[in-house]
Amino acid sequence: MGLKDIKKTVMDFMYGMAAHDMATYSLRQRMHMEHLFMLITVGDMVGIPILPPYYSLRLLPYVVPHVKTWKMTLLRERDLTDTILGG
Amino acid sequence: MPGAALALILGIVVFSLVYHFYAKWVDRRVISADPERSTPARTYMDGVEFFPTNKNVLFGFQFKGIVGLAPVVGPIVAIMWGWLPALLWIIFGVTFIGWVQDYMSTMVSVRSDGKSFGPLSYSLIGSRTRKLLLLFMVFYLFLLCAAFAAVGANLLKANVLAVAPVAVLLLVAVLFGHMVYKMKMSPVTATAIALGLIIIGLFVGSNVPVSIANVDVWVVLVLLVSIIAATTPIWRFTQPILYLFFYVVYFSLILLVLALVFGNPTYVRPAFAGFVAPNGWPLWPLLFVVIACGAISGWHSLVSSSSTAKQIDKETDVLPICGGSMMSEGILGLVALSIVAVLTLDEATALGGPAAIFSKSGASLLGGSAVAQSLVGTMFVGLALGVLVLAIRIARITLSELAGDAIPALKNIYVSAIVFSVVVFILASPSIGALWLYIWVLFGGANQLMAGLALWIAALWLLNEKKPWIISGIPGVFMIVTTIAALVFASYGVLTKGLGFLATGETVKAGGNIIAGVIGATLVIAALIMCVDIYNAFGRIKAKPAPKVTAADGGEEE
Repeated sequence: MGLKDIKKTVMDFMYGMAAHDMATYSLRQRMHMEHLFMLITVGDMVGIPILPPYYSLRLLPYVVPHVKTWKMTLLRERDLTDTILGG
Repeated sequence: MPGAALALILGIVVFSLVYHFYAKWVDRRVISADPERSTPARTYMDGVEFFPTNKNVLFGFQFKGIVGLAPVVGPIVAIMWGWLPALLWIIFGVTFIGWVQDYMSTMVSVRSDGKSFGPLSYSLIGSRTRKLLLLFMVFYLFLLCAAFAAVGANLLKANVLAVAPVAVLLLVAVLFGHMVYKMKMSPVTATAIALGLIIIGLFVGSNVPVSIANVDVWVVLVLLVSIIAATTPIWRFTQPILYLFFYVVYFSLILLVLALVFGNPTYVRPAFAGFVAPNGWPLWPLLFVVIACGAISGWHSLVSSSSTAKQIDKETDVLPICGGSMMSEGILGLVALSIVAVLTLDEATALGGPAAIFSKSGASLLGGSAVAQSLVGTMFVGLALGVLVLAIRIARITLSELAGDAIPALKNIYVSAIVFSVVVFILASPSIGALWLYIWVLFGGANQLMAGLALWIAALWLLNEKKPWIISGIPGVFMIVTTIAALVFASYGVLTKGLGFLATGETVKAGGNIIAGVIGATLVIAALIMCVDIYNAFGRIKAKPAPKVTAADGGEEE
């Protein structure tokens, strides 16, 4: 292990301690906003029709890449431990 | 008499041996960790909750997630039985129980599609245990906040030179949040500005002593800061506080470790002060609950299964991340023990409670100057306040999730935070609540019960997989039996005191003690119910036949 590797390890460790939770929190916030948007636009995929199908179809190309992740997150079993620690 | 350096070196040597022999044996032979097997982070990668994370980053994340004030305070309290029992419990606790729990909680979650503690207890034990887990968590949060609010308040009272630096840090935290999130300043620049201001605050604050003799006032102030943090957006106050305290806390910790290693002060406290402490407390079961996080803690299993397990890149990363973090925390426990063991009993008694002992002894190790006192004081307040601001936020969410439907007012963030804080004040206030030591034991009890449950979830999973379940089951039995005994002792103690106050007409004081006693008694009943559920689940899983592998043509495995 060279000096460069040691420096990278220390920097990674520092980042993990100092900022990783902040970064993941910001990502989660963005995810919740995106999922809200998807629920409004293509909610009929999970049985919640909110927007008329015309607009859903117009927006569909933009949300297609996220559909799989969205469904997985929406349908995954969660409880309080996830809510308070996983965000 | 041994020195502090010897204790630290002993810990490092023992934990290294445990890691390289026992832990690696479990990882390779029992669990068969396979770097090629897909982890939930890879299978369900969504870039947010599930995503493979670098081993070193995740180690830092896990270590910070499990370290708080508890590994520091526990050994200071436990020295009443002498330094040797505390030293042995930290070393043996980490060796046979602590790392097993952290590692197994993560590994079971990784092998169960990233399920967290709640769904795992539901699928392996039953629905009642899942509900009991929530009960443990609610009481745990009350007791944790009460214990840490009391420690934080006493720290601020004892460290008159740390008050101004802490106030500066809180103001700088608001500024930091604004600079990064509103002004879109680079985090590196904002960090440099914030740290510069904090250093100025430390130097200026060390000349501005702030003294308030009434601890109740400090409890209220500490809770007020926590309520503000819990009700404002997380980026505005909570995150910056945790982020900035991180630098102060770990910088001071490194200085303290170096001072202990190179200064090598001698332990002057007696090695063994007897099986019963001067205040009448028996070594068993109380030592094993008083020192929680330095040896084993249920909180770790929550962090491991809810957060870390979803970010594990390879199964072979689990041991260095979770086992390594726990062993590092054990070293921190030894640091805390060393700092207090170098004081004589008279010196420690003159300093006052554990908060004052630790911060003043730590400052004297760093030279005893006013700046050293400010720095060490700020570090310990940071450890307490960091946990508290997060815990009250979590408690607010928990309260509104659990009781929000029945009492709609609790869905309001201000109402839930204030209601929770009022109960915490009743428990933590020296003029209303129970004796702090009892609160600490009850908090440790709730924590260790979760640890016992986590160990048994792991044992049942091992049994289900036809692997040697005793590596987790025996520590689990020890933790549950010991914790129930400690909780019975503490609950009886506070209830008796409460009834005594009631008889003398001191109803306010009686109220605080009785509330603490009822919480303790409820935890005991919940633990006994949990034992029955675990026993039933054990029988059910043991009776289950091993799955037969059948060939495509119907022939059985040879």
